[in-house]
Amino acid sequence: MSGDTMQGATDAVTQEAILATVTGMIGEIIGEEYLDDLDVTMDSVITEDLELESIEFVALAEKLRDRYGERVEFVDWIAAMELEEIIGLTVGRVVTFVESCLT
Amino acid sequence: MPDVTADGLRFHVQTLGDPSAPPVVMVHGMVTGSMASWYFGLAPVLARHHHVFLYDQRGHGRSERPASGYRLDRLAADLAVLTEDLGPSAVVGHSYGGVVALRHAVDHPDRVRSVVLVDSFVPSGAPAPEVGGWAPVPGAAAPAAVRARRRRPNAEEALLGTTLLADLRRTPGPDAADLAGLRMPVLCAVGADSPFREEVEALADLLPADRCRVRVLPGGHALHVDSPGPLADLVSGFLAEVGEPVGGTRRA
Repeated sequence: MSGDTMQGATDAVTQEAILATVTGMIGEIIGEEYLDDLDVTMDSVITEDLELESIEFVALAEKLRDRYGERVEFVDWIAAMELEEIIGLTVGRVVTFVESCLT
Repeated sequence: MPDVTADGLRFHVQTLGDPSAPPVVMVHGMVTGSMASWYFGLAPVLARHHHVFLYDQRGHGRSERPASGYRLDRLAADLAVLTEDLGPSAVVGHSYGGVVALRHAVDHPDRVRSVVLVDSFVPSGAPAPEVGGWAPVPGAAAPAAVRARRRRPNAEEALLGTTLLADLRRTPGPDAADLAGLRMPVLCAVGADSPFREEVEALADLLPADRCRVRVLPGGHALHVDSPGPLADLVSGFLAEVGEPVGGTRRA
């Protein structure tokens, strides 16, 4: 959890808070025990450093939708990307995308 | 989205779009495929005007992976059970997912409004397809050094430990007479550079000429990756032409 004052889950819009949220989601997807071995930063490449497979991107999309609703159009955002861009996607780009949707 | 149980197996299901819009069911290809093949590409485009239903086939993605039971009739039965509550639907299939869609159309012609095949062919009798030539997915192309320390086996590698490929090669495709008898419109999208182009066109030849149209798009076997824009335009246009009007009411 971030040290920010969180008034409610959906109110957390600072980068630090969103990073903590996204990191938590990734932990739920790959298993918390694996998360302990990984240093999830804004520079982490999701497919390579965190080893998320494409189907786990679907899980991440579902969690983002459950959390933020239609304000964050993660599926449309990814759908507009070339495959190489998806493979190179960093946690930081997801965080700043979520932030841009919420602010 | 809750998981759904069919034939004693747990299936991962997702939907996109307005539930009251005309339904489209999307069936991914085997081995390297999963609903992710559609989820970040064609599915959100179709979801603008359709209720899109996606599932991971048995053994794939986040659905349960039995050691055996991958024959065509089982795969088509999964599709039939999972979409039982949908109205008459368009069914879109990539690669062998299209063969599953055709078998479903033969088994339940009243439930299938139209079929879209994306570089689909029947591999039975042919040598095992080169897995490496199939649709690339993020993560599957990870360097050996990365894979060596994977937290678990790559999903595709794990799937190869099942009877999947043997089952696919052993199972004949849908009966030719059954395919010739289909009455719903069928669109066959073919990759110009697909290594399976001959087989893809051979399958299209089995479909009734007055109901089937074949379109060649730039790209290989993974047309949804190689030509996402043109494929989306082609499929959207086809569904708009043959489906019920957007926003129209269901038939009584």
